Amino acid sequence: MSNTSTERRIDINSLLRLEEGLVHSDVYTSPEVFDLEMEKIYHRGWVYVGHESEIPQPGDYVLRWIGTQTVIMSRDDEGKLHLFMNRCRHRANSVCQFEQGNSSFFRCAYHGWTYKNSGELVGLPYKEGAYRPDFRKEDFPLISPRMDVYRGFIWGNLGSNGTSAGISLEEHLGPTGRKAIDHFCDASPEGEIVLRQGCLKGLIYANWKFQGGDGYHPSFTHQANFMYMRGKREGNRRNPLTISGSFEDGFRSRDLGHGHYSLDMRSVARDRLPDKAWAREYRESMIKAYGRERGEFLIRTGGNPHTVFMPNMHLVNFDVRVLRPIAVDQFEINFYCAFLKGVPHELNQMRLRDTEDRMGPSGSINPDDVDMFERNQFGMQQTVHPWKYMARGMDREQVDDDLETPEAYRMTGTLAGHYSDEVTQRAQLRWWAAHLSQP
Amino acid sequence: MSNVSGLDKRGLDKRGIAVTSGESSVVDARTIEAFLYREARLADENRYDEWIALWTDDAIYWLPANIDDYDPQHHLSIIYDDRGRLQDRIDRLKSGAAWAQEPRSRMRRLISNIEIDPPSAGGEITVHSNFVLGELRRGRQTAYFAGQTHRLRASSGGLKMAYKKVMLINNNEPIHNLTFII
Repeated sequence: MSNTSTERRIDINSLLRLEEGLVHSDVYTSPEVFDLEMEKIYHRGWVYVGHESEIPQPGDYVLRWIGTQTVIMSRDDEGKLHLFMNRCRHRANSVCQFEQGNSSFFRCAYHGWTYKNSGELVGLPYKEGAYRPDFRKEDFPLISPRMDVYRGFIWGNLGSNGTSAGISLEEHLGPTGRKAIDHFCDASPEGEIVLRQGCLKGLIYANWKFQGGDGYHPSFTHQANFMYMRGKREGNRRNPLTISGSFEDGFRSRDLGHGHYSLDMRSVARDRLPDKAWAREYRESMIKAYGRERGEFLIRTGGNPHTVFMPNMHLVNFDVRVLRPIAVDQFEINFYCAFLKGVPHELNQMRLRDTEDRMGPSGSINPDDVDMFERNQFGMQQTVHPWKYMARGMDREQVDDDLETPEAYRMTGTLAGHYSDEVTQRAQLRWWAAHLSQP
Repeated sequence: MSNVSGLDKRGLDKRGIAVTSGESSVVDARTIEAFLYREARLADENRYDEWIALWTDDAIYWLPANIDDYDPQHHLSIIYDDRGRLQDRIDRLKSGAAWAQEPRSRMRRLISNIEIDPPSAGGEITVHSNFVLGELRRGRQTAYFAGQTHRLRASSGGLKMAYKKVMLINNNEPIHNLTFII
């Protein structure tokens, strides 16, 4: 099926009636829509790949995904970062088979073509007399898609500059998206995180656009946690069941632009650090590094911007979540616990146990979300009335300047609603429709 | 029997009896096997209270993620529970609101390749085994394969688990739902 015929068959604008809060199930169930998403979102435009700290040494590499394609994130012998398509220039075999490792070369096992970890083709067996005289090895390096880095987070972009994918990573993240990343990293007094603690890998039989960021669901989906676990341990002190639902209670949902969104609990977050020597040491180092106002904000919020970046990365609680779409009704999500540089190990250990406690296939939070996503996918198979209703808070959302937050992390000029309002879902869908409608 | 010489490498004497050093406790290999089978049956049948009663208070229940062995203070695990976290896990499952187990999984596991380590100081019995678990939930049947290590202690109430480590062969692959007792 050519792209042109795909476009003819799907009228994106007929699938969304957002002014009425209505969304057609085909957005989540149509294989043609999924193909279009791969073409117009994942295979051009910025997609999160990995973090610099995952490949600290020269020669380190990890194998990652951009949509349905694998890419190698490599640090060469001189320490420079690269992104390569995992494909030999000769007959297209994948040249890297391992999820991570350290190597000076990527060698295709099929015919022995060998590339340096900086991408140049350096080995080509039986070359003499085999090719035309103008053949140059220099013309056959591993293909490098566009790559850019913000605060150690690495994004790739398979599109070219001349297309709609031509915006910079800085533009794609936007000022508030960048501040959310700053907020996450600045929980370290050195401003750096480390993602080398392994990851929890989840498989979800639902559409990849189910990415959470829904402030309406916790009291119900996570009822068991709030009633039986957290309630028991923490005396119900931050039980969302007690959220009033009124717009004034300080919990916010925010549209950060470019499809990114946040469930903002920063103004109501409370310091959860224990009264221990190591916690006092951390507090002091943070105030010293950032000053009192920022330092206290970062400690109180735990460095949690609770932000979802389209199309595939989340910074929520203490972990970095990375999504990989597989099919219209299947995706994977990896949870990487972020350790903070320059803090007592007890703090990182707390983050580790917290991430395990909630996330991954045995966690207390994520599997119940997964079950809701799958029930949703199942429900959408009925076609009698295929419209979903996402109108919550449409009449009370408003542009908000987030003045209570320190300027460095302020979400200036974002469209905000109550935490439970579907501001975030609509933010994602508007972005989605804009991308899919592009030529 | 306090003399541990004359044992084979699995810690069994000529009569197939497992011996723990120093202590007077002598635990029959069949008793150890019976414990593993009983634990498996309680897990298979979602008998949460009876299953958690098999644990000691200083329990460690560990499912490594990505690789089979590492320092769990520096690397994420699929599960790394002490007794308190284990109790939370069970309370949640019993709540009726742990949706990923509503409906619950139906399961049967087969345990084999049981090897009992030579007795160690401290009176703990270390047992290695393999299992295959068939799990069915909402029309999807999944097979899990794993090695596991138990550390058991004899007490007046029979054997108890102080440590259980489950090494799934797919612990570095995306896993759909592991909210049942594995």
